[in-house]
Amino acid sequence: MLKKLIVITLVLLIPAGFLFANGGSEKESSNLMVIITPDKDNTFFTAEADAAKAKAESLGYKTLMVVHGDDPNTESDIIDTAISEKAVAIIIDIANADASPNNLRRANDAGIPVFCMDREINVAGIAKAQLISDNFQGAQLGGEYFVELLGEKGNWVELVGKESDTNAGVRSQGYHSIIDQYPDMKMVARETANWSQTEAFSDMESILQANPDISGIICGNDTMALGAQAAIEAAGKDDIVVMGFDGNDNVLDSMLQGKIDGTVMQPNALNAEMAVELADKYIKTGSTGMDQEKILNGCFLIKPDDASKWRGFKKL
Amino acid sequence: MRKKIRPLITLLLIVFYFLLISACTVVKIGDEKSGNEGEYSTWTKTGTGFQAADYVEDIWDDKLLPAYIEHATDYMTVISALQENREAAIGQYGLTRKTGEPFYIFKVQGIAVVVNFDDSSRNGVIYVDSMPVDGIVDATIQVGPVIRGTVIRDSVEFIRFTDVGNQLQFADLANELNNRMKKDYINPLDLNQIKGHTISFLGAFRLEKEQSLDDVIITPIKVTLMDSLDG
Repeated sequence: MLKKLIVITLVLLIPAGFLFANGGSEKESSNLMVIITPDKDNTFFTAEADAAKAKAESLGYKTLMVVHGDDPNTESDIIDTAISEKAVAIIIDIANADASPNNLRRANDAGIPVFCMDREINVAGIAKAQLISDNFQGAQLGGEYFVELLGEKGNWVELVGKESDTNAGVRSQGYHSIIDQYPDMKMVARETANWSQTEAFSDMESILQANPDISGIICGNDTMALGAQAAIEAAGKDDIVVMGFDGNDNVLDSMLQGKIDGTVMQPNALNAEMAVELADKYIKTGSTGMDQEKILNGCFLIKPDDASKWRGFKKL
Repeated sequence: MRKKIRPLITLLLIVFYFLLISACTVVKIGDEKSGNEGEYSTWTKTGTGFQAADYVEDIWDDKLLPAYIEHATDYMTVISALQENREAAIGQYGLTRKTGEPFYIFKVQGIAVVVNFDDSSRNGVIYVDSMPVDGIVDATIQVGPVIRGTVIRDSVEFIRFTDVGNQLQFADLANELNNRMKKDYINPLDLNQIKGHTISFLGAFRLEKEQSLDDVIITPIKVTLMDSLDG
Protein backbone atom coordinates (compact mmCIF):
# COMPACT_ATOMS: atom_id res chain seq x y z
CA MET A 1 0.00 0.00 0.00
CA LEU A 2 2.78 2.35 0.93
CA LYS A 3 4.55 1.46 -2.31
CA LYS A 4 1.45 2.36 -4.26
CA LEU A 5 1.25 5.66 -2.48
CA ILE A 6 4.85 6.49 -3.32
CA VAL A 7 4.25 5.69 -6.98
CA ILE A 8 1.17 7.89 -7.08
CA THR A 9 3.05 10.66 -5.36
CA LEU A 10 5.89 10.44 -7.86
CA VAL A 11 3.52 10.39 -10.82
CA LEU A 12 1.69 13.39 -9.49
CA LEU A 13 4.94 15.24 -8.92
CA ILE A 14 6.19 14.84 -12.50
CA PRO A 15 4.53 18.03 -13.80
CA ALA A 16 5.81 19.83 -10.70
CA GLY A 17 9.30 18.79 -11.64
CA PHE A 18 8.89 20.31 -15.10
CA LEU A 19 7.57 23.47 -13.60
CA PHE A 20 10.50 23.94 -11.27
CA ALA A 21 13.04 23.02 -13.92
CA ASN A 22 11.50 25.59 -16.20
CA GLY A 23 11.42 28.28 -13.53
CA GLY A 24 15.03 27.58 -12.65
CA SER A 25 16.30 27.95 -16.19
CA GLU A 26 14.60 31.31 -16.61
CA LYS A 27 16.42 32.63 -13.61
CA GLU A 28 19.82 31.54 -14.81
CA SER A 29 19.32 33.28 -18.19
CA SER A 30 22.27 33.12 -20.51
CA ASN A 31 22.95 36.85 -20.94
CA LEU A 32 23.52 36.03 -24.60
CA MET A 33 22.37 38.24 -27.46
CA VAL A 34 22.29 36.44 -30.79
CA ILE A 35 23.05 38.90 -33.58
CA ILE A 36 22.05 37.70 -37.03
CA THR A 37 22.96 39.47 -40.27
CA PRO A 38 22.75 38.49 -43.94
CA ASP A 39 26.33 38.44 -45.13
CA LYS A 40 29.97 38.53 -44.09
CA ASP A 41 31.28 40.11 -47.30
CA ASN A 42 29.13 43.18 -47.80
CA THR A 43 30.53 46.01 -45.69
CA PHE A 44 27.02 47.30 -45.15
CA PHE A 45 26.14 44.20 -43.16
CA THR A 46 29.47 43.86 -41.38
CA ALA A 47 29.19 47.46 -40.17
CA GLU A 48 25.71 46.70 -38.91
CA ALA A 49 26.91 43.52 -37.15
CA ASP A 50 29.91 45.31 -35.64
CA ALA A 51 27.77 48.18 -34.35
CA ALA A 52 25.31 45.78 -32.73
CA LYS A 53 28.09 43.68 -31.19
CA ALA A 54 29.93 46.68 -29.76
CA LYS A 55 26.74 48.09 -28.26
CA ALA A 56 25.69 44.74 -26.78
CA GLU A 57 29.10 44.15 -25.21
CA SER A 58 29.20 47.68 -23.82
CA LEU A 59 25.92 46.88 -22.09
CA GLY A 60 27.42 43.73 -20.58
CA TYR A 61 25.98 41.05 -22.87
CA LYS A 62 27.73 38.12 -24.44
CA THR A 63 27.19 37.92 -28.19
CA LEU A 64 26.86 35.22 -30.79
CA MET A 65 27.39 36.52 -34.32
CA VAL A 66 25.83 34.54 -37.18
CA VAL A 67 24.95 35.10 -40.85
CA HIS A 68 22.06 33.53 -42.75
CA GLY A 69 23.18 34.31 -46.29
CA ASP A 70 19.62 35.38 -47.22
CA ASP A 71 18.54 31.76 -46.75
CA PRO A 72 15.42 31.29 -44.60
CA ASN A 73 16.41 27.68 -43.81
CA THR A 74 19.74 28.76 -42.41
CA GLU A 75 17.94 31.47 -40.53
CA SER A 76 15.61 28.84 -39.11
CA ASP A 77 18.56 26.76 -37.89
CA ILE A 78 20.09 29.82 -36.27
CA ILE A 79 16.85 30.53 -34.46
CA ASP A 80 16.90 26.96 -33.12
CA THR A 81 20.41 27.51 -31.85
CA ALA A 82 19.36 30.75 -30.18
CA ILE A 83 16.51 28.89 -28.50
CA SER A 84 18.71 26.06 -27.27
CA GLU A 85 21.31 28.55 -26.04
CA LYS A 86 18.51 30.33 -24.16
CA ALA A 87 19.38 33.68 -25.68
CA VAL A 88 18.01 36.75 -23.89
CA ALA A 89 17.33 38.49 -27.20
CA ILE A 90 17.69 38.09 -30.94
CA ILE A 91 18.88 41.06 -32.98
CA ILE A 92 18.30 40.31 -36.65
CA ASP A 93 18.48 41.63 -40.18
CA ILE A 94 16.04 39.13 -41.66
CA ALA A 95 16.58 36.72 -44.55
CA ASN A 96 13.30 37.02 -46.37
CA ALA A 97 10.23 39.18 -45.82
CA ASP A 98 7.84 36.27 -46.49
CA ALA A 99 9.57 33.39 -44.72
CA SER A 100 11.26 35.08 -41.77
CA PRO A 101 8.17 35.93 -39.71
CA ASN A 102 7.51 32.21 -39.12
CA ASN A 103 11.10 31.62 -38.03
CA LEU A 104 10.92 34.55 -35.66
CA ARG A 105 7.58 33.43 -34.28
CA ARG A 106 9.28 30.29 -33.01
CA ALA A 107 11.75 32.40 -31.07
CA ASN A 108 8.81 34.33 -29.63
CA ASP A 109 7.10 31.11 -28.61
CA ALA A 110 10.27 30.11 -26.79
CA GLY A 111 10.12 33.40 -24.92
CA ILE A 112 12.97 35.13 -26.73
CA PRO A 113 12.23 38.73 -27.73
CA VAL A 114 13.17 39.64 -31.30
CA PHE A 115 14.42 43.01 -32.56
CA CYS A 116 14.67 43.68 -36.28
CA MET A 117 17.06 46.09 -37.92
CA ASP A 118 17.36 47.25 -41.54
CA ARG A 119 14.87 44.94 -43.29
CA GLU A 120 11.31 45.01 -42.05
CA ILE A 121 8.72 42.31 -41.55
CA ASN A 122 5.12 43.00 -42.40
CA VAL A 123 3.53 41.07 -39.57
CA ALA A 124 2.96 43.03 -36.40
CA GLY A 125 3.62 41.78 -32.92
CA ILE A 126 6.46 39.36 -33.69
CA ALA A 127 9.29 41.86 -33.24
CA LYS A 128 9.34 43.98 -30.13
CA ALA A 129 10.80 46.74 -32.28
CA GLN A 130 11.88 47.22 -35.89
CA LEU A 131 14.57 49.78 -36.60
CA ILE A 132 14.40 50.67 -40.25
CA SER A 133 16.21 53.17 -42.43
CA ASP A 134 13.76 55.46 -44.18
CA ASN A 135 14.59 53.99 -47.55
CA PHE A 136 11.91 55.91 -49.36
CA GLN A 137 12.95 59.26 -47.96
CA GLY A 138 16.58 58.36 -48.76
CA ALA A 139 15.70 57.34 -52.32
CA GLN A 140 13.85 60.60 -52.80
CA LEU A 141 16.92 62.52 -51.69
CA GLY A 142 19.03 60.47 -54.10
CA GLY A 143 16.49 60.89 -56.90
CA GLU A 144 16.35 64.64 -56.43
CA TYR A 145 20.13 64.97 -56.53
CA PHE A 146 20.32 62.69 -59.57
CA VAL A 147 17.80 64.84 -61.44
CA GLU A 148 19.67 67.98 -60.40
CA LEU A 149 23.02 66.57 -61.65
CA LEU A 150 21.44 65.68 -64.98
CA GLY A 151 19.90 69.14 -65.35
CA GLU A 152 16.41 67.60 -65.19
CA LYS A 153 16.87 65.86 -68.55
CA GLY A 154 18.59 62.93 -70.19
CA ASN A 155 18.59 59.17 -70.71
CA TRP A 156 19.01 57.19 -67.55
CA VAL A 157 19.31 53.63 -66.31
CA GLU A 158 18.12 52.07 -63.11
CA LEU A 159 19.80 49.09 -61.47
CA VAL A 160 17.46 47.45 -58.99
CA GLY A 161 18.33 45.24 -55.99
CA LYS A 162 17.19 41.74 -55.11
CA GLU A 163 13.45 41.43 -55.59
CA SER A 164 12.85 39.36 -52.43
CA ASP A 165 14.16 42.29 -50.43
CA THR A 166 11.47 44.88 -49.68
CA ASN A 167 14.07 47.62 -49.64
CA ALA A 168 14.85 47.04 -53.33
CA GLY A 169 11.27 47.89 -54.22
CA VAL A 170 11.04 50.74 -51.77
CA ARG A 171 14.12 52.48 -53.15
CA SER A 172 13.04 51.97 -56.72
CA GLN A 173 9.67 53.46 -55.97
CA GLY A 174 11.34 56.36 -54.14
CA TYR A 175 13.54 57.09 -57.16
CA HIS A 176 10.62 56.92 -59.55
CA SER A 177 8.40 59.05 -57.34
CA ILE A 178 10.80 61.89 -58.07
CA ILE A 179 12.35 61.17 -61.46
CA ASP A 180 9.10 60.24 -63.23
CA GLN A 181 7.82 63.73 -62.58
CA TYR A 182 10.41 65.11 -65.02
CA PRO A 183 9.18 64.45 -68.58
CA ASP A 184 12.61 65.08 -70.09
CA MET A 185 14.16 62.32 -68.00
CA LYS A 186 13.89 59.14 -70.07
CA MET A 187 14.56 55.75 -68.55
CA VAL A 188 16.15 53.61 -71.27
CA ALA A 189 16.82 50.49 -69.20
CA ARG A 190 15.86 49.02 -65.85
CA GLU A 191 17.42 45.79 -64.66
CA THR A 192 17.86 43.91 -61.47
CA ALA A 193 21.47 43.24 -60.58
CA ASN A 194 20.59 41.55 -57.26
CA TRP A 195 22.70 43.94 -55.16
CA SER A 196 25.76 42.41 -56.87
CA GLN A 197 28.79 44.29 -58.14
CA THR A 198 29.64 41.70 -60.79
CA GLU A 199 26.06 41.49 -62.06
CA ALA A 200 25.88 45.27 -62.20
CA PHE A 201 29.10 45.32 -64.19
CA SER A 202 27.92 42.83 -66.81
CA ASP A 203 24.42 44.33 -67.01
CA MET A 204 25.87 47.80 -67.57
CA GLU A 205 28.35 46.54 -70.15
CA SER A 206 25.53 45.39 -72.41
CA ILE A 207 23.27 48.34 -71.62
CA LEU A 208 26.05 50.76 -72.56
CA GLN A 209 26.60 48.95 -75.84
CA ALA A 210 22.92 49.19 -76.71
CA ASN A 211 22.55 52.80 -75.54
CA PRO A 212 25.52 55.00 -76.31
CA ASP A 213 23.92 58.20 -75.01
CA ILE A 214 23.30 57.52 -71.34
CA SER A 215 23.58 60.47 -68.96
CA GLY A 216 23.07 58.76 -65.64
CA ILE A 217 22.76 55.49 -63.75
CA ILE A 218 20.94 55.31 -60.45
CA CYS A 219 21.47 52.20 -58.36
CA GLY A 220 19.55 50.54 -55.55
CA ASN A 221 22.73 50.11 -53.56
CA ASP A 222 26.41 50.96 -53.47
CA THR A 223 27.86 47.65 -54.61
CA MET A 224 25.86 47.91 -57.84
CA ALA A 225 27.05 51.52 -58.20
CA LEU A 226 30.64 50.28 -57.97
CA GLY A 227 29.91 47.70 -60.69
CA ALA A 228 28.26 50.31 -62.89
CA GLN A 229 31.14 52.74 -62.41
CA ALA A 230 33.62 50.02 -63.37
CA ALA A 231 31.62 49.26 -66.54
CA ILE A 232 31.63 52.95 -67.47
CA GLU A 233 35.38 53.10 -67.05
CA ALA A 234 35.84 49.87 -69.01
CA ALA A 235 33.78 51.41 -71.83
CA GLY A 236 36.08 54.43 -71.80
CA LYS A 237 33.38 56.88 -70.75
CA ASP A 238 33.63 59.35 -67.91
CA ASP A 239 30.69 61.72 -68.26
CA ILE A 240 27.99 59.48 -66.84
CA VAL A 241 26.48 60.32 -63.46
CA VAL A 242 26.37 57.38 -61.03
CA MET A 243 24.35 57.40 -57.82
CA GLY A 244 24.52 54.71 -55.17
CA PHE A 245 22.65 53.99 -51.96
CA ASP A 246 24.01 52.85 -48.55
CA GLY A 247 27.06 55.01 -47.95
CA ASN A 248 29.67 52.28 -47.87
CA ASP A 249 33.32 53.23 -47.54
CA ASN A 250 34.33 52.01 -51.01
CA VAL A 251 31.80 54.31 -52.60
CA LEU A 252 32.87 57.22 -50.41
CA ASP A 253 36.45 56.60 -51.62
CA SER A 254 35.26 56.49 -55.22
CA MET A 255 33.46 59.80 -54.68
CA LEU A 256 36.61 61.34 -53.24
CA GLN A 257 38.39 60.25 -56.45
CA GLY A 258 35.75 62.05 -58.50
CA LYS A 259 34.16 58.88 -59.89
CA ILE A 260 30.81 58.02 -58.30
CA ASP A 261 28.76 61.18 -57.96
CA GLY A 262 26.66 60.63 -54.88
CA THR A 263 25.11 58.19 -52.49
CA VAL A 264 22.57 58.06 -49.71
CA MET A 265 23.86 57.29 -46.25
CA GLN A 266 21.78 54.81 -44.34
CA PRO A 267 21.81 55.17 -40.56
CA ASN A 268 22.50 51.45 -40.31
CA ALA A 269 24.96 51.63 -37.42
CA LEU A 270 22.33 53.67 -35.60
CA ASN A 271 19.62 51.12 -36.43
CA ALA A 272 21.79 48.34 -35.01
CA GLU A 273 22.69 50.26 -31.87
CA MET A 274 19.09 51.27 -31.24
CA ALA A 275 17.93 47.67 -31.73
CA VAL A 276 20.35 46.53 -29.02
CA GLU A 277 19.47 49.42 -26.72
CA LEU A 278 15.76 48.70 -27.02
CA ALA A 279 16.45 44.99 -26.43
CA ASP A 280 18.36 45.88 -23.29
CA LYS A 281 15.54 48.10 -22.11
CA TYR A 282 13.01 45.40 -22.87
CA ILE A 283 15.00 42.76 -20.97
CA LYS A 284 15.29 45.03 -17.95
CA THR A 285 11.83 46.60 -17.86
CA GLY A 286 9.58 44.43 -20.00
CA SER A 287 8.94 47.27 -22.44
CA THR A 288 10.86 49.08 -25.16
CA GLY A 289 9.28 52.34 -24.06
CA MET A 290 8.48 53.21 -27.68
CA ASP A 291 4.91 53.91 -28.75
CA GLN A 292 5.21 51.95 -31.96
CA GLU A 293 6.92 48.83 -33.19
CA LYS A 294 8.34 50.24 -36.40
CA ILE A 295 10.78 53.08 -36.07
CA LEU A 296 12.06 54.86 -39.16
CA ASN A 297 15.48 56.46 -39.03
CA GLY A 298 16.23 59.12 -41.63
CA CYS A 299 18.87 58.82 -44.38
CA PHE A 300 21.31 61.51 -45.54
CA LEU A 301 22.32 62.61 -49.03
CA ILE A 302 26.10 62.39 -49.48
CA LYS A 303 27.65 64.63 -52.12
CA PRO A 304 31.38 64.34 -52.92
CA ASP A 305 32.13 67.19 -50.49
CA ASP A 306 30.59 65.18 -47.64
CA ALA A 307 32.33 61.91 -48.50
CA SER A 308 35.26 62.47 -46.18
CA LYS A 309 33.01 63.15 -43.21
CA TRP A 310 31.68 59.59 -42.90
CA ARG A 311 33.29 56.22 -42.26
CA GLY A 312 31.75 52.88 -41.32
CA PHE A 313 28.26 54.37 -41.76
CA LYS A 314 28.95 56.87 -39.01
CA LYS A 315 29.57 60.58 -39.08
CA LEU A 316 33.14 61.28 -37.98
CA MET B 1 -4.59 5.14 12.38
CA ARG B 2 -3.04 4.38 9.00
CA LYS B 3 -6.36 3.98 7.32
CA LYS B 4 -7.43 7.46 8.28
CA ILE B 5 -4.23 9.22 7.23
CA ARG B 6 -3.87 7.65 3.80
CA PRO B 7 -6.92 9.24 2.14
CA LEU B 8 -5.94 12.55 3.70
CA ILE B 9 -2.47 12.40 2.14
CA THR B 10 -3.94 11.40 -1.19
CA LEU B 11 -6.38 14.27 -1.03
CA LEU B 12 -3.61 16.71 -0.16
CA LEU B 13 -1.53 15.46 -3.07
CA ILE B 14 -4.43 15.83 -5.45
CA VAL B 15 -5.05 19.37 -4.26
CA PHE B 16 -1.33 20.13 -4.61
CA TYR B 17 -1.37 18.66 -8.11
CA PHE B 18 -4.24 20.85 -9.24
CA LEU B 19 -2.60 23.89 -7.70
CA LEU B 20 0.47 23.21 -9.83
CA ILE B 21 -1.54 22.71 -12.98
CA SER B 22 -3.66 25.80 -12.43
CA ALA B 23 -0.52 27.92 -12.06
CA CYS B 24 0.09 27.37 -15.78
CA THR B 25 -1.86 29.37 -18.30
CA VAL B 26 -2.92 27.58 -21.41
CA VAL B 27 -2.42 29.71 -24.53
CA LYS B 28 -3.44 28.42 -27.90
CA ILE B 29 -0.66 28.89 -30.43
CA GLY B 30 -1.66 31.63 -32.76
CA ASP B 31 -4.00 33.32 -30.29
CA GLU B 32 -1.40 35.03 -28.22
CA LYS B 33 -0.57 37.71 -30.74
CA SER B 34 -3.99 38.61 -31.94
CA GLY B 35 -4.22 41.52 -29.54
CA ASN B 36 -1.08 43.04 -30.88
CA GLU B 37 -1.88 42.53 -34.51
CA GLY B 38 -5.00 44.55 -34.00
CA GLU B 39 -2.73 47.52 -33.58
CA TYR B 40 -2.03 47.34 -37.25
CA SER B 41 -5.42 48.95 -37.49
CA THR B 42 -8.01 48.22 -40.08
CA TRP B 43 -5.58 48.90 -42.88
CA THR B 44 -3.37 45.92 -42.91
CA LYS B 45 -2.48 42.81 -41.07
CA THR B 46 -0.20 41.28 -43.62
CA GLY B 47 1.26 44.38 -45.19
CA THR B 48 -1.08 44.32 -48.16
CA GLY B 49 -4.34 45.95 -48.89
CA PHE B 50 -3.61 49.48 -47.81
CA GLN B 51 -5.21 51.90 -50.26
CA ALA B 52 -3.50 55.24 -49.90
CA ALA B 53 -6.08 57.11 -51.97
CA ASP B 54 -8.96 55.77 -49.88
CA TYR B 55 -7.17 56.62 -46.69
CA VAL B 56 -6.45 60.16 -47.87
CA GLU B 57 -10.07 60.55 -48.92
CA ASP B 58 -11.09 59.48 -45.42
CA ILE B 59 -8.84 61.85 -43.52
CA TRP B 60 -8.42 64.90 -45.75
CA ASP B 61 -11.54 66.89 -44.87
CA ASP B 62 -12.37 65.20 -41.61
CA LYS B 63 -9.06 65.06 -39.83
CA LEU B 64 -6.21 66.63 -41.76
CA LEU B 65 -7.53 70.07 -42.66
CA PRO B 66 -9.12 70.45 -39.19
CA ALA B 67 -5.76 69.57 -37.57
CA TYR B 68 -4.13 72.34 -39.59
CA ILE B 69 -6.87 74.84 -38.94
CA GLU B 70 -6.57 74.14 -35.24
CA HIS B 71 -2.79 74.08 -34.92
CA ALA B 72 -1.33 76.24 -37.68
CA THR B 73 0.39 79.37 -36.44
CA ASP B 74 1.05 82.56 -38.38
CA TYR B 75 4.19 81.92 -40.43
CA MET B 76 5.89 85.20 -39.50
CA THR B 77 5.27 84.54 -35.81
CA VAL B 78 6.90 81.12 -36.06
CA ILE B 79 9.90 82.38 -38.03
CA SER B 80 10.49 85.31 -35.67
CA ALA B 81 10.26 82.97 -32.70
CA LEU B 82 12.76 80.59 -34.34
CA GLN B 83 15.15 83.46 -35.02
CA GLU B 84 14.89 84.64 -31.46
CA ASN B 85 15.20 81.33 -29.64
CA ARG B 86 15.29 78.21 -31.73
CA GLU B 87 14.92 75.72 -28.89
CA ALA B 88 12.01 77.52 -27.32
CA ALA B 89 10.24 77.98 -30.64
CA ILE B 90 10.64 74.29 -31.47
CA GLY B 91 9.11 73.47 -28.11
CA GLN B 92 6.24 75.87 -28.58
CA TYR B 93 5.33 75.45 -32.25
CA GLY B 94 7.17 72.37 -33.54
CA LEU B 95 6.10 68.77 -33.76
CA THR B 96 9.17 66.65 -33.04
CA ARG B 97 9.46 63.51 -35.15
CA LYS B 98 11.76 61.04 -33.48
CA THR B 99 14.03 59.49 -36.04
CA GLY B 100 17.79 59.03 -36.05
CA GLU B 101 18.34 62.73 -36.37
CA PRO B 102 15.20 64.33 -35.00
CA PHE B 103 13.44 66.85 -37.19
CA TYR B 104 10.65 69.25 -36.50
CA ILE B 105 7.51 70.06 -38.41
CA PHE B 106 5.80 73.41 -38.10
CA LYS B 107 2.23 73.93 -39.25
CA VAL B 108 1.83 77.48 -40.49
CA GLN B 109 -0.63 79.78 -42.17
CA GLY B 110 -0.52 83.24 -43.64
CA ILE B 111 -1.80 85.79 -46.09
CA ALA B 112 0.78 87.02 -48.56
CA VAL B 113 1.39 88.69 -51.89
CA VAL B 114 3.13 86.56 -54.51
CA VAL B 115 6.37 88.31 -55.47
CA ASN B 116 7.49 85.79 -58.03
CA PHE B 117 6.79 82.38 -59.53
CA ASP B 118 9.95 80.44 -60.31
CA ASP B 119 9.45 77.48 -62.63
CA SER B 120 13.07 77.09 -63.73
CA SER B 121 12.90 73.70 -62.04
CA ARG B 122 10.00 71.27 -62.19
CA ASN B 123 10.03 71.69 -58.44
CA GLY B 124 8.47 75.11 -58.96
CA VAL B 125 8.16 77.58 -56.10
CA ILE B 126 6.47 80.87 -55.39
CA TYR B 127 8.14 83.55 -53.32
CA VAL B 128 5.74 85.47 -51.15
CA ASP B 129 5.71 88.64 -49.10
CA SER B 130 3.64 88.10 -45.97
CA MET B 131 1.34 90.71 -44.50
CA PRO B 132 2.17 93.46 -43.73
CA VAL B 133 3.55 93.85 -47.27
CA ASP B 134 7.00 95.45 -47.33
CA GLY B 135 8.42 94.27 -50.63
CA ILE B 136 10.67 91.69 -48.98
CA VAL B 137 10.27 87.97 -49.67
CA ASP B 138 9.34 86.25 -46.44
CA ALA B 139 8.61 82.71 -47.51
CA THR B 140 9.09 80.12 -50.24
CA ILE B 141 6.19 77.81 -51.04
CA GLN B 142 6.64 74.80 -53.32
CA VAL B 143 3.91 74.52 -55.92
CA GLY B 144 5.31 71.80 -58.18
CA PRO B 145 4.46 70.12 -60.43
CA VAL B 146 7.14 68.21 -58.52
CA ILE B 147 6.44 68.37 -54.80
CA ARG B 148 9.41 67.30 -52.75
CA GLY B 149 9.38 65.56 -49.41
CA THR B 150 6.86 63.96 -47.11
CA VAL B 151 6.01 66.93 -44.93
CA ILE B 152 2.24 66.63 -45.15
CA ARG B 153 2.36 63.00 -44.07
CA ASP B 154 4.80 63.74 -41.27
CA SER B 155 2.94 66.80 -40.00
CA VAL B 156 0.25 65.10 -37.95
CA GLU B 157 0.61 62.70 -35.06
CA PHE B 158 -2.35 60.58 -36.04
CA ILE B 159 -0.50 59.25 -39.08
CA ARG B 160 1.91 56.66 -37.75
CA PHE B 161 4.18 54.37 -39.71
CA THR B 162 3.24 51.35 -37.60
CA ASP B 163 -0.45 51.82 -38.35
CA VAL B 164 0.05 52.15 -42.07
CA GLY B 165 2.06 48.99 -42.56
CA ASN B 166 5.26 48.90 -44.55
CA GLN B 167 7.53 51.47 -46.14
CA LEU B 168 5.95 51.18 -49.58
CA GLN B 169 2.52 51.92 -48.23
CA PHE B 170 3.85 54.70 -46.05
CA ALA B 171 5.56 56.16 -49.12
CA ASP B 172 2.42 55.80 -51.19
CA LEU B 173 0.58 57.70 -48.55
CA ALA B 174 3.03 60.62 -48.67
CA ASN B 175 2.71 60.82 -52.45
CA GLU B 176 -1.04 60.59 -52.35
CA LEU B 177 -1.25 63.43 -49.83
CA ASN B 178 0.97 65.59 -52.04
CA ASN B 179 -1.16 64.69 -55.07
CA ARG B 180 -4.38 65.50 -53.29
CA MET B 181 -3.05 68.93 -52.36
CA LYS B 182 -1.99 69.59 -55.96
CA LYS B 183 -5.30 68.43 -57.35
CA ASP B 184 -7.42 70.49 -54.97
CA TYR B 185 -5.41 73.68 -54.68
CA ILE B 186 -2.50 74.03 -57.10
CA ASN B 187 -4.04 72.84 -60.35
CA PRO B 188 -6.90 75.39 -60.21
CA LEU B 189 -4.39 78.24 -59.91
CA ASP B 190 -3.01 79.94 -63.02
CA LEU B 191 0.54 80.17 -61.76
CA ASN B 192 1.72 82.21 -64.74
CA GLN B 193 -0.71 84.93 -63.76
CA ILE B 194 -0.29 84.72 -60.03
CA LYS B 195 2.51 87.25 -59.53
CA GLY B 196 1.26 90.31 -57.62
CA HIS B 197 -1.83 88.60 -56.34
CA THR B 198 -2.74 87.88 -52.74
CA ILE B 199 -3.07 84.34 -51.48
CA SER B 200 -3.90 82.72 -48.20
CA PHE B 201 -2.05 79.55 -47.42
CA LEU B 202 -2.08 76.74 -44.93
CA GLY B 203 0.91 74.44 -44.87
CA ALA B 204 3.88 73.05 -43.05
CA PHE B 205 7.63 73.05 -43.18
CA ARG B 206 10.27 70.70 -41.95
CA LEU B 207 13.30 71.94 -40.07
CA GLU B 208 16.31 69.81 -39.35
CA LYS B 209 18.57 70.25 -36.39
CA GLU B 210 21.25 72.33 -38.09
CA GLN B 211 19.26 73.60 -41.04
CA SER B 212 19.35 77.32 -41.75
CA LEU B 213 16.04 79.18 -41.61
CA ASP B 214 16.92 80.56 -45.06
CA ASP B 215 16.37 77.07 -46.50
CA VAL B 216 12.86 76.69 -45.18
CA ILE B 217 10.37 75.68 -47.87
CA ILE B 218 6.69 75.47 -47.10
CA THR B 219 4.67 72.59 -48.48
CA PRO B 220 1.12 73.89 -48.70
CA ILE B 221 -1.91 71.79 -47.99
CA LYS B 222 -4.24 74.58 -49.04
CA VAL B 223 -3.68 77.68 -51.15
CA THR B 224 -6.48 80.07 -52.02
CA LEU B 225 -6.49 83.15 -54.17
CA MET B 226 -7.82 86.11 -52.19
CA ASP B 227 -8.39 88.39 -55.16
CA SER B 228 -9.38 87.69 -58.74
CA LEU B 229 -6.69 87.02 -61.33
CA ASP B 230 -8.53 89.30 -63.77
CA GLY B 231 -8.36 92.21 -61.36
